[in-house]
Amino acid sequence: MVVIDPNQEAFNNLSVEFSGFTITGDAAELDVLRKAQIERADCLLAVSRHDNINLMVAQVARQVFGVSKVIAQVHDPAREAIFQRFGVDTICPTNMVAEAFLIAAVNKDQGGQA
Amino acid sequence: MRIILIGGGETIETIYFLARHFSKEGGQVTVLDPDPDEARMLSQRVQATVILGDGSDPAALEQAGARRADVLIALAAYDPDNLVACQIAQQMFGVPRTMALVNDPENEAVFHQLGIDIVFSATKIIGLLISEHTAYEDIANLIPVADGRVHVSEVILPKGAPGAGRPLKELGLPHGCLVTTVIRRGKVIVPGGNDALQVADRLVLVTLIENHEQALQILTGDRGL
Repeated sequence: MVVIDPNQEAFNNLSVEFSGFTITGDAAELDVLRKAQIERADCLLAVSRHDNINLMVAQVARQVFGVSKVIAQVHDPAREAIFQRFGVDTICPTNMVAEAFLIAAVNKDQGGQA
Repeated sequence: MRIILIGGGETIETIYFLARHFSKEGGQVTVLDPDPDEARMLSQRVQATVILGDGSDPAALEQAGARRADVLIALAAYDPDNLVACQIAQQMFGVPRTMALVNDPENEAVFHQLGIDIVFSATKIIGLLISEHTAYEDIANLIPVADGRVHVSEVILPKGAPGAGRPLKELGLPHGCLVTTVIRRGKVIVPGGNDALQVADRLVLVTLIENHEQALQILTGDRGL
């Protein structure tokens, strides 16, 4: 496991049991991905806060380096829909949270009726 | 022609001059810029529709008229923003031509592979200009021709130049290199092999890319940077 983050302090958040490697850098740079030995990776998860970085890194991993399993976190539901159609595997936390809220609200309603 | 320019970051001057250029040529220009100050400044200075918004936000692109646009040019300072703006323009709005600026020269090939029509790397262009142009301080002008394989350069012979004072044919200039013209005190001379150059001569030199450096070194003594 290799974690890439432009901010070195972010690695302090890793659990003490984390036994992988850390690389400080911008994953949107090919050089940084190569340093992380992306050619040998089976899976890449692009989970930064910025949709565009995730979308670019995911496509680069897939199409330039041939990583077989690639998933990008995309916060903007509209953007997610486009790229999903475009063949990028995505997870949209906004939609997931909205769904969780909806389910919780519906359950609460039903609880009230009972 | 309907043109959408995407800004964001330190490229406002580029956006400004391009917007001005295209609207002068009769283009219908819309600028999408996420920075309120930049957007305000552009709206005051150029004949273009300026929209405050993120160029990779589908709603903002729609508002900028992406459905009817002929070209989208993404000039934001951060490469991923430009890639995503171009891809959304193509995929969602069917913009026929997309162009993007890249800062990391390596991304030029990546963007092509990911479907962007035209990609320009400012770093690469400036880098080429610097290494070809100013690496040799005695070169006043340089024009690459034949796809950059031939260089036409204007060179001034500095003090102590090894190329001065001896007949041209004795200098050992590489094959395919020619001193075509010498400008000496305002007079134009077409030199032959028996003519010698003098310090402060202004030469119009034709070289092949592979012997450019060698020729310059023989004439001026300058090894470049």
